[in-house]
Amino acid sequence: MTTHDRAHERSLFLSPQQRKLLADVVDQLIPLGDGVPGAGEAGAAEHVEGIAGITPASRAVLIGGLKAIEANSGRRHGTGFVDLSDSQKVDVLREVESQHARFFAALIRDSYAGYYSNPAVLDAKGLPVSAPQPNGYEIEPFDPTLLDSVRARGKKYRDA
Amino acid sequence: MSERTDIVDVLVIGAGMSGGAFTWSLASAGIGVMCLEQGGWPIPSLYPSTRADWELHLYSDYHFDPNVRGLPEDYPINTEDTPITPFMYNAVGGSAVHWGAHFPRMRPSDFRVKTLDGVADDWPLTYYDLEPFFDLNDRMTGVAGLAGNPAYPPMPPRQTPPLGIGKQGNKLVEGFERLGWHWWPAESAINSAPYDGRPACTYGGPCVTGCSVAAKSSADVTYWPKAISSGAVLKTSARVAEVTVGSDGLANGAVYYDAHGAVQRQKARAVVMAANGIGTPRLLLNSRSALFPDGLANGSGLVGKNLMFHPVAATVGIFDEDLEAHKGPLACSITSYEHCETNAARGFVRGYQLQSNRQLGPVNTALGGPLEQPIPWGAAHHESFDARFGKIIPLAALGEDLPELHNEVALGPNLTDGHGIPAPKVNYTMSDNSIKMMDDAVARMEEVMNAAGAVRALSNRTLQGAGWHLLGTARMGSDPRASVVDEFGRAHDVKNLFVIDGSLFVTSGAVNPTSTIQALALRTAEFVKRNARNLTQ
Repeated sequence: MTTHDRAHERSLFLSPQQRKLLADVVDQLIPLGDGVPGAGEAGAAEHVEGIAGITPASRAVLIGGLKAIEANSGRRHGTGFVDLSDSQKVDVLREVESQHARFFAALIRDSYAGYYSNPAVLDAKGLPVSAPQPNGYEIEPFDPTLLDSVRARGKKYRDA
Repeated sequence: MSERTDIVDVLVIGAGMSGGAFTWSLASAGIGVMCLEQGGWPIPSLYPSTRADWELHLYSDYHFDPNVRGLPEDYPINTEDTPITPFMYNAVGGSAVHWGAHFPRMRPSDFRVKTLDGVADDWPLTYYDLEPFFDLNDRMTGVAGLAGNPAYPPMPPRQTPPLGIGKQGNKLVEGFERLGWHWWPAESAINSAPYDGRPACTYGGPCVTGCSVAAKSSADVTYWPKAISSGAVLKTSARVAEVTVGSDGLANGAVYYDAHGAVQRQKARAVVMAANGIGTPRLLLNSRSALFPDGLANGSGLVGKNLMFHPVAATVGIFDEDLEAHKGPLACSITSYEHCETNAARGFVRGYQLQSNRQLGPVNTALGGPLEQPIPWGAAHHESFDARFGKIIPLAALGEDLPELHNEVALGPNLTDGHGIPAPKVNYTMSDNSIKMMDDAVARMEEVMNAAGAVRALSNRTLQGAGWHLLGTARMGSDPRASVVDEFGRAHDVKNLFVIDGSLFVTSGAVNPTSTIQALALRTAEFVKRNARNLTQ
């Protein structure tokens, strides 16, 4: 079984509260846009959790990061992250990003990957949804006359 | 361990691009060849490129980094001490299965850097010694391109016309033309028209997740079918643990693990290493014996030393129009040799080739592509994404790396593969020359992006994910004290042991190495055929 298959087994391990928090966090990373869903609605949190679930180490990194977000929120505002305003959430996440770089880099990577591989997102943004092969695209043949000026500029190597 | 009683004439280790070319050449001459490959046959119908979720595979089971991929046929590599991550793929066809298929030849001056520029060493052969083998390899492979490139000596017509460069390529051409710089359509191992029974490229794009239409000329679709029909034997899921030697000091076969994990011994009259610039020194260093206590063929102490990558810098030009950047073969569009040769005024020796790439998909776009820096999160996210998808030109500078003793493939302490075989450790630092070269490359790439009309140009001076080219770790030369093998890849210390992969390279040139690797393999095959009866003398 490949790592890809394992990720898609959805080895979910977060508590309901942690899962709600994560969905709220990814919505700040990729918010609702003009005609496009936010990352929470698009299922990016499930992808983040599925990838993190592959190894005990990556589970620990995700859980540790979520705890850091809650701790930061409590320290700064005396309440949980999900109850903050959008601007307060952004401030908390900026600080966690600077203090927990490894967690945040994985969070960004897997949130973006989950979001931009969701067919509903691709469709809403007008991006290609189907497999690139075998049908592919049309590209016009190369025009060799473009090279006339390159030829005119002459030899471009040292013989040896 | 089961001892096979049959003795093959030649045993090749590794079924990638060099192993495929070499095996075909010998088998088609009637010589008995067996190849042992630790991976399996790729299955084109399962390539991620044929699936809607193809891009996710790039970050999991199709990652270029074997440490991330972690498939049973992969071996781990300790990469704690290298700024460039080595890439490879283990299968019939080798790393070319997930290759971009750039197919330039090294150029005449690349073989003479000591004479011309006073650095590193000359090769023991010239461009012109290799020329007939370049030509043969091109015919066997099928090269899309155009003869007459002023950056090369004359060469025969290419097998198929250049690949279309699309709106994106045409836009970049405007920049090169405004600056008066050299450019040329890429030499590509991709059929732009049907060739040799294989179809034309359909411009789907992500060649690096496998070419399901077989337009990309990896050895699994070029040399291997022909080699096997000529009588070559290819054993997959066969992981070699060591090359064995007799009391006479000659190679006499290899010990390997078969698909069931059982230890087998295959005897041979000659052994050929085709396991890439990391796998080959790893195996030689693992092949210790009373006669060769420091590893096989390592009398010079240079097995594993002088590792060269090509350092890569990347610039991404962002334009305010749709360039359909994601359409077409990822790596092959246009190239420039304007900055390849030494120019003393720049403060470094040798130079770099520029090559424009197309765009991968939405995931890679969001993660920054060659900039290796994700686009912003938060309120600016959507605007940033929309400014990039389809509207960028990624340009890469591939710099000539020069050999340095301290850059090496060693055996990693306390790290083994799934069979318990000691795994490699890469120790590598970028030289001052490479750093100055990449600084210059970034400035020139931003210059050409501005000339082409880019709204912005963003750059990454040191691409971490650049370890495609694994070179120099069993270098060729005429002096046994300063090289591992001779000009035919024959080990100085073991007359019936040959190396035919990128390990051979004395210097690296400023071009992708596969064409040169295969030409060298075909030249060695010619030598072996001519000397088949006295390879042990």
